[in-house]
This record gives sequence, C-alpha cells and structure tokens, in this order.
Amino acid sequence: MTDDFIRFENVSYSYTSDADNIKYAIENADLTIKKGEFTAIAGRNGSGKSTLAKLMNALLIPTYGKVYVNGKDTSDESEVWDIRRTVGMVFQNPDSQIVGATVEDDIAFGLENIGLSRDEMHERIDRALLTVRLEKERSTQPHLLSGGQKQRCAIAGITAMRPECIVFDEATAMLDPSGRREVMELAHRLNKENGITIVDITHHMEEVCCADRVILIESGKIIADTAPSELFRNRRLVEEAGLELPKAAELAEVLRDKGVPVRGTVLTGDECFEALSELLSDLHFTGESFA
Amino acid sequence: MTALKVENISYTYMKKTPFEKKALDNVSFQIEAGTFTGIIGHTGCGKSTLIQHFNGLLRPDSGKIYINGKLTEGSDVKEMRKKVGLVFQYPEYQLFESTVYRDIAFGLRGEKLTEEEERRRVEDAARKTGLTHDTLDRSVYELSGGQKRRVAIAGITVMNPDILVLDEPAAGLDPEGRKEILKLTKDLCDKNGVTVILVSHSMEDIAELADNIIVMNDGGVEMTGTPREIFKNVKRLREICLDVPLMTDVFSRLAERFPEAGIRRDILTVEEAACEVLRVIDKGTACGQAAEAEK
Repeated sequence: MTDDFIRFENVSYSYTSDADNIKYAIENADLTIKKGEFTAIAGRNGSGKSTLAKLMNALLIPTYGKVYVNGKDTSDESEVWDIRRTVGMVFQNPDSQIVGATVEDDIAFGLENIGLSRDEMHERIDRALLTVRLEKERSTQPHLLSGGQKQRCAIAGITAMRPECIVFDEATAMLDPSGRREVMELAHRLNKENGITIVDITHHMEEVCCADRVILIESGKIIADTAPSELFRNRRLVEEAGLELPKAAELAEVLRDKGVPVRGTVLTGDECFEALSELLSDLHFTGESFA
Repeated sequence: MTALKVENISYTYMKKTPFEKKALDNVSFQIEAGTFTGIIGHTGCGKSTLIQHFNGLLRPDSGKIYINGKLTEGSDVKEMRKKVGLVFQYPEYQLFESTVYRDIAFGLRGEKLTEEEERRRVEDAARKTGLTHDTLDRSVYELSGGQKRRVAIAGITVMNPDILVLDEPAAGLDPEGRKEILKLTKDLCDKNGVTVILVSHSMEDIAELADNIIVMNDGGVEMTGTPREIFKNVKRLREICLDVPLMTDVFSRLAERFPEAGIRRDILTVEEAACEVLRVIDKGTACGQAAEAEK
C-alpha cells in the first residue's frame, strides 16, 4: 500500500548480542504508520519507547525483523542517509542537540552536509526560520534562547532537510508551560499545513489526547494501538501501561460516578469546558438572565 | 521559625565582560520551617541561579541569606551545605558507585562515622525515600528511572538537611514515577519535618503540593502567596510564560460564561472541581479545601 510510510515487520531489538542473557528492548513489534498521521507513543520509563523511535530512522537496526521507511529497508546501508533525511528526530535536552554559533548556523549545519548550493541553503534557512517563527532570532546565539525556542531551532534544522516525518522523543520534557505549548503547536502545524508525519513520544497525557492515534508500549511489547478517546475509556489499559487519566477526563469520570450526566468525550480542557457549559445550560443558567 | 530568609540578593554572571548578565535582581522572601514551597518561573528566569545560593554554590554579589535565622558568610559554605541539601535536575546522572548502599553513603565519608552508625543513617535515608532493604545491595544500573531518582534523593537526605531543595525532581519520569517522587517529597515535609523547596514547571503539581509559591520573572520575584492566591492571576501568569492548573482555567472560564451561577474561580484540583460542580447544580455543598477557603 502506498500510504504505509513506516512499517515494522516482526521487529525485535536487543542491546546485547551476548546470547546467554539476551533481553529484548523491543519484541515482535508489528506496526504501520501512515503518511500524514500524528501518532503518540506512551508507556513507562524503560518500556522501549525510545528504542522504537530509534528504529524508525536507522539509528538502530533490528536484531530480528525489518523496518521499512517509504519502502526502504533500514538495514540496507546504502539507504541509511536517505532514511535519516526523511525521518528527523528531536531529542529531550535542548542543549545537547544544538551545534551552531547562531540559530542560522545551526540550521545550516545539516544542509552543509548534503552539498547544497549557497542560494539553495539560504532559501531553505529562510523558510525554516519562517516555519518555526524564529525569523527575529536568526543571528541570536542559541544559548540565549528560551527552552522552547531552542527546541524550535532544533526543529528548524530538521525541517530545512525537508523531512517527511519528525519523531519527537520526549521533546517537551524539560520545557516550561509556554515552551511546551510552542513546541506542540508547531508539531501540529507541521502536521496539518506541511503534511509531515509526526511521532510524539511522551509522558504527558495532554499531548496524547491531541494525537490521532496512540501506541502503548509495555516491557518491549506493543500492548495497544488505538484512538486516545478509546484508550482513556479503558481503565485497565491505562493502568497496565502506567499512565494516568488527563485531568479533564478524571473530572468527567468522578462526576459520572456521582450520577452527573456529563456528555461526550472529555479529554482536553476545552472539551471539559464545553461539557460543563452544556450541563449548566441544561440547568437554566443561561447568559445574564439570572442576574 | 524562619528556615530560609533571602534579603535583597543580586547576582550577575560574567561580570565586566561583554556577556554580563544580571540573573538575580534584588530578590527577597522568606520560608518558614517545615513548609512546602514551590518555585515557578519560565526557563531562564533565574530559578536555578537562585537555588544555588541556598547552599552556597553561588554567593550573592549583594544582599544577605539567613539559614535558621543565622546570617551566612562566605566562610560558612560547609555549614550551609549540611543544612541545605540540593537535588539537581536528573540527579540519577550523578550516581556512580557500585551499589545503592555505597552511593547513598558517599556523602557521609567526611563524617568519620562508625560502620554501624553509617549503616543506620543509610538505612534510615533509604526508608524515608521508600527504597526497600533489598535494593541497597543492588547496582544502581539495575533500577528503574523512578528508583534511581529515589537513590539520588536518599544520597542527599542521608546528610539530614533541614532544608531540601529539588529542581524538577519529576521531569522525564512516567506518570507512576512522577506520583511516587512527588509523594516522597511531600512525605519528607509532612512526616519528617523537612522544609521542602520544589522547583517545577508543572502548575498542577505545585497547586497540589505547595503551601506557598514564589513566582520568579526576569531575575526578580513577581509574586508570592498560597496556590489559591497565585493562580487567580491567570492573565499575568500567562504573560510571563507560565500557566494555571487545567481546572483553574476551566472554572474561571465557566465563571465568566455563567456569571449568575456563582462559580468559584479559584478551583485548583480535580477533587475541588467535582465538589464545585455538585454544589452549583445543587447536589451537594462545597467540600474539601474549597469549603475551607470559603470560610
């Protein structure tokens, strides 16, 4: 099928090759990610999320099984560079992935390595700066940026490579609330406006809620692959994967337990606001009429 | 008793160079012994610079720091480090010993304890941080992320500090690990009487745990108060790149949309939110903290 962008075929990965105590970080994973999807990956620390991510752009090669990106086998060494250009990665620590002396230099780093002309580089850098909204910071030294800006700078370096997919490996874990919002807004914008496939590895249930699809990993195995609204309806699954309900869903559940008719899917703050508004409207608290 | 008092402290990095940067500008506040204080502020607002002053890793250019009522001087650094324990971000990166026991005991080396006393202190710290006895002989590399972090915190609490400062202790942990670590910090305060200062980017955690909040902005103190007082300032907090807990946001919007319903704007937690809904739709009365605040 043409829209299968990343495909895992019975993939296992072990960090040791010592046959006596082999331990699989990922075991028998079958998985397909379609072009243009926004997928969240969640699970406990050490469950194998990052291993799964690194298998997506040939940073790791499966011990058994195959991973295909756009039909290309990641274990084929001649395809590795092309695959890494297609699937970019943003890591957790903003300070450990910036190499340039200025924002502009940092974005140029990847481009310099693929032998583009100066004009082409300039054009791509301009566009990347515009995409991540760092036009004003183009000559700024990266250490003077906020956490969110640093991550956006890292993302600009990736978008300049014209990737088809970006994997966020807990890219918001170290950010303040506004930094987290900036990065997530950007991820969703890249997905909607530029059609970039997004994989977001996260411990934040609020991020999971905004994805099209969520994959749960536990002890190296994929234990669920579902819509966020389905996941949070399944208490057993949430507990098994060590997750928690988003605050809004928790409130809806508490209220429903007490017999309050909260309607619809309530995962986000907005949905919570709407559901409670509806509830209150039903009780004739409408507009200013009461006062 | 005041555990920590900071009086007009200022600090500038790389003074007299072109990179000079004023990180703290005339900061003052005080923290009472046995309380739980949250420090919030956007990246680069001076939080880390500030907490490094608490145990003498940095000395202020001007201003004074009092610990347990006593003015600290440059020469008191050793004493400060005993009284104030500092747990950095990602403290598990600093674990290095062969076993959990040895890692926790490392800080005690200078104290010339007998083997028995040392074991007692280590076991005590392990117990307070929720590490089981059999963990002590294991390698730190066999532990989960949350457990490693407990070991790192135990390595500080073993010094019996009066004040424990933690910089984002839950960052990068899964939801279970987060809950465990945060409960641990709360227990250290409630059960062991340690004065806890928690730096966090999570408004939810701060709202749930802290008695008082210090809000930092651009090297200064923007405001101080209880969570309920602080999180009323939705607009201002957003201006300085912070936020309010989700429930506070939802309920302040509801209060605006239904002015006649008399909805409280200062809801902090899911529990309070549920009570408030029940009260408003006349199925119950205000309960928990919301009721207390109403009195």
